Parts: sequence; structure tokens; C-alpha cells
Amino acid sequence: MSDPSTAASAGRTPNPVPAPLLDVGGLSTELRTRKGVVHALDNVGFVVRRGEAIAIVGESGCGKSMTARSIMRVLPRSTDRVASGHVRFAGRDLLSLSESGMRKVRGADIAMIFQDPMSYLDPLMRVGDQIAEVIRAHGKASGEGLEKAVEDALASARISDIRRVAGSYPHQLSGGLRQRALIAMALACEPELLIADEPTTALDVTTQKQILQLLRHLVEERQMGLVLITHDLGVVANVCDRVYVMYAGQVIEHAGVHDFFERPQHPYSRGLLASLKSLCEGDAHLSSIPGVVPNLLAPPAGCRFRARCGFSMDVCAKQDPTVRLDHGKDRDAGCWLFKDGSGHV
Amino acid sequence: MSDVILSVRGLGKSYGGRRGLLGGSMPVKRAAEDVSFELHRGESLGIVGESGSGKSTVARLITRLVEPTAGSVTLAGRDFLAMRDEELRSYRQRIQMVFQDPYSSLNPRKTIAESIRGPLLERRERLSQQDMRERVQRHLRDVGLNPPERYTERFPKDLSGGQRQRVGIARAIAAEPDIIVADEPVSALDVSVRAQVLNLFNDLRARKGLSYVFISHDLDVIRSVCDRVAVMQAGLVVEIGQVRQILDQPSHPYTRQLIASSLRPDPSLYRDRPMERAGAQPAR
Repeated sequence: MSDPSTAASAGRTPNPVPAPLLDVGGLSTELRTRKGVVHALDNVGFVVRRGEAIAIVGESGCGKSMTARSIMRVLPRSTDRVASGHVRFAGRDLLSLSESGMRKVRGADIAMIFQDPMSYLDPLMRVGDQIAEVIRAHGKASGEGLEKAVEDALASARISDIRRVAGSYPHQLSGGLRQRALIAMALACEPELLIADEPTTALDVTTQKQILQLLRHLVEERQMGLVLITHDLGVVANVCDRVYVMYAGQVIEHAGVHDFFERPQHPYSRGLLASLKSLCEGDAHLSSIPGVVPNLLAPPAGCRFRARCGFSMDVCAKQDPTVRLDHGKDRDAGCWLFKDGSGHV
Repeated sequence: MSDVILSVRGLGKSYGGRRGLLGGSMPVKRAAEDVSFELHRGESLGIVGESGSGKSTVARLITRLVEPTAGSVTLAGRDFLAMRDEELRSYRQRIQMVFQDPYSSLNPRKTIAESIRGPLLERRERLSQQDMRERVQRHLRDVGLNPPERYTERFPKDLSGGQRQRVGIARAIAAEPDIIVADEPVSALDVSVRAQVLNLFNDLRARKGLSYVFISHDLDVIRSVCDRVAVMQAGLVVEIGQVRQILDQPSHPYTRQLIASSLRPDPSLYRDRPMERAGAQPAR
């Protein structure tokens, strides 16, 4: 089955395909709430290679943060569970590790940073001491080597005033420096993969740009893998190599960053980009997507975007198109428009 | 002069400076300093700036949610800051506010109809129950919540973010104001919904001849709803003028920096050229 929109971009040489650093497939997560079981994730899959930044993009409630929590096995409540799927990191399946085995992975192999550094930094502890604690806990350095390791971590987050920052409490730092301190802590054990959940959403635009440059730099310099979770397509365009779009708990499209922005396929992706472009161009009437996201307590049969879609067909009500999303291809969309071999709308 | 609906002169707000509780003197913090602008009838004026620039303070000063420590506010030709009691109550209806987070600005225990009835009662028109019900429904229809009966008896928690913000707007227009002061009204909304709400702001202005003071950190949002824009930094207006002119030919270095830092949804701007080295800019 040939896909003309893929063929159109074949001018660029495809990357040689090394074994992925992280390989997630068939991931389904259930949250038990008082109103019933919420199917927060349904058959989510993606891969991250070394030296590559991928974006998981979507709107609030689409499951992007839940994806990160499922991978790290830090779900909100004890009653929540990953119902199925695999999470292979450097060849090991994280879902079958013991809790103590998983604890060694978190922070050391895979680190995570968040939107609001203030809630992940201890307000009563100097920044330098907090970073030292992480390093000591993972046995990466101790005694005399510890101070040097803390300074290295702060330096790798491009903090120029290392001594002042190390000796400060979190509240004494600006928002941008706090996020850098959190990044320094995440980098302290030299993780192979960094998961960043809305890392710049709370920051001003000028600070945001610096933090994004830092993340991109780390990916290239350390050959680290980066999973950037965001709702902001401007951030995606700035930092990421490939894009996974989530909608209502499912991955509905994946593509290289240029393909995605130039030729989005899924009607939802197209709606998002059209909306953003009309805003940037100052159109008198902005393009928007009508309707609201479905309730995940009782997701609709067939395509979850169907009720909001202008291209809906009979098949869309009957069969879920995302089950046939092909992760082996350069790009694919979980949409019946692209399953008839035409690739055209 | 007749078409100026709001005139702000030398407006300022400083905190502290007096003796603190324990006898030490508190340092003076200036949240806004010498802010001046005029808003014409039917005009939409944007205020843009980063956090701490004083843009939200200005919104609170011109609506008298916070009392200024300097300057004057003239609303429909009258000295707004000198008003008291009944006069203040009636003039306050002319300038209504819409907040960023409708979840925290709507009373969670009131139904949508009750929330909109508040400003209607404040108008003291002695409406019959039937008229009141129709008025509530009309305002819900005005903001695109159709059919209104589907929303009147629900609570804020039952609505999506976009629907809640529409209720916030309905409550503001229920007072039949001349001016709406909107403080980051779409920042908490998702991209696809953001466009719907911005369209609503534009439609309402055209239909009702409203004037806006529209506060946002997002230049694209300002471009889509404003005629003029004031750029604020550290409590001061550093540049003010037509949106197109300011965004296309900014004269103040801070404005230029804001424009250069806003990210475009276009990877070719970033990814085809070598990355600017992150180390080149020292951390602040």
C-alpha cells in the first residue's frame, strides 16, 4: 500500500534505523474512579531512539501525561493499573520489573521533569543538597566526589552562577532557574532518557526559548533520548524530530516533524494546525474544531474523533481505525481516509 | 473626545513602604507605575507583557478591584476613582471583567442560571420571573451555549473549559457593560477551543459595540482580537500603538525580544539550521 504523502517526502534520506532506546506498544491503562473505570490509555505505542527528541502532543485529558506515568509506573492511585502492553527500555521490559528494580531505573536510567518545578523541589532544602541526595541515592558518587558531581550537574543545565544556585533555596530562584535546577537534578545520574512533561508551560516566552535550546542541546551532545510532552505545537516545531499525536487516550498519528507540519493527515491534526495557523496569521475568523472530546468512561465505538470530524464515513462508526496504525512506517494516521490505499481525502 | 469611553492617566499601584507589623519598614514594590492610555468606544486594546510586568494589576486597577495609589481613571466622562456607594455600584456595571480561569471565578455551588442572574439582579430592573428566565437564556445564546435550557441547571464542574469560559463571558455581558476587561481569558484553553472563544469575543464586539481591554502574554491572541496594543515591562508601558505596526515594526527592544521569543508552528524555522548553542546565553 503506497502512501503518496510519504512518497512526496521521500527526497530526504531516511534515517538508518538503530534499535530503539524505548519501545512502547499496546499500552492500555485503566483508572478506577467512583464513576467507573476510565480507559485513560488505549493501545498507545511509540519508539524513541538515542539522540532523538519525540513529541507526544495533544490537548488536556488526551492521556499524554498518563502515558509518561504508565512508563514510569507512577500512576495516581494504587487502584489504577496498566492493563496491557509492553514498555521495553534498552531491551528490558519495565512493566515486569519488581518495584525495587523499577526504583533503580527511575532517576538513574530514565529521568523526568515537570511543568511546575516548585512542587518537585523540596522547599526546605538547598538546591545543591537536593542534587547531592539524588546522586548519593543512586550510588553515582560519594564523599569528595560528590561536590564535583553536583557542580557538573548544575553546569550541564547551563547554570552560570553555580555556587549561588547550589546554596539557594528553591523560592530564592527565578522560574527559569528553578526549571534548570530540576533539569540539573534529572541529569545528575546521566540518564539515557529524559521525559519532560510540559517543561516550559509555566515560563515566560523568553525563558521558554532558552530551556528548549538547552533540552535540544542535551539530546545532541549526550545522544540522550527525549520524550517531550506538550500541548504547544510551537514547542514541538522548535525541539522535536518526530511527533505522536494523541486524542482521547489513543495515538492517532505519527510522523516526522516536517511531514507533520507541512502535511498533517488525520483530520484532528489538520484541525489543530489550521487553528494555530489562522491565529498566527491574524485571520479575521479563526479556524476551530467544533464539539468536545468524548467521555472516556464510555468511549464511543469506532473512531473517537468521528463526532467532530468533517470527513466521517460509515466505517468510522463501526471500526476503530487506530488499531491498524502502523508504527513500522515513517508516518501513519489512525484514520479510515488513509486505509483505502488512496491517502487522499 | 466624545468617543473616549475610558481614559487612564498616570495610574500606579505600590505596595509596602509603611512600617511593618514588627516595626521594620517594608520595601516599596511598584506593581504599576505611571500607566496612561485611552480606550475608544468599540475599540479593543491589548496589553501584552510577561509575568510580573503589571498587566494584571492594570486590569484590577481600572475595574477598582484594587485601589490605585496614583493617577486617575475616567469612565464615560466621569471620575471613576472618586465614586462611592450607589454611583459606584451603577458605574461598575459598565466595566466588567472576564478572568483566566472560569473554574475559580464561578461559584461552584451555583447553577449556571444562578451565576448569570447575579448581574441581572444587580441592575435592579424588577424583572418578572419569566423575563428573568428569558434574559438568562438570551445571554447564554449570545455566547453560543445553545440550546440554553441544556446549560441553565448545570454546575460549573459539569462543563468543559471552553463552555465555562463562555459562561464567564455571559455573566459579564449580562450587566450590559460598555467595556469588558479580559485577563488572559484563553490561556487555560486548548488550541482548538481557544479559537472558538476568540471568535466569540470578536463576534460580541461587533454585535454589541463593546470595547475591550484584553490582557494576554500571547502576541498571536492579541493580533486576533485587538486594534491597538500596549506593551508592558516592569510596571511601565514601554510601547503603545496599532497592533500591526507594533508587531511588524517594533521600536522598543523589549517588544523585539518578545516577538523573537514566540515560537512559530513551523519546524523549518528551527530545525534546518544549526541549533543556536544553549550555552551562548547565560542563565538569568
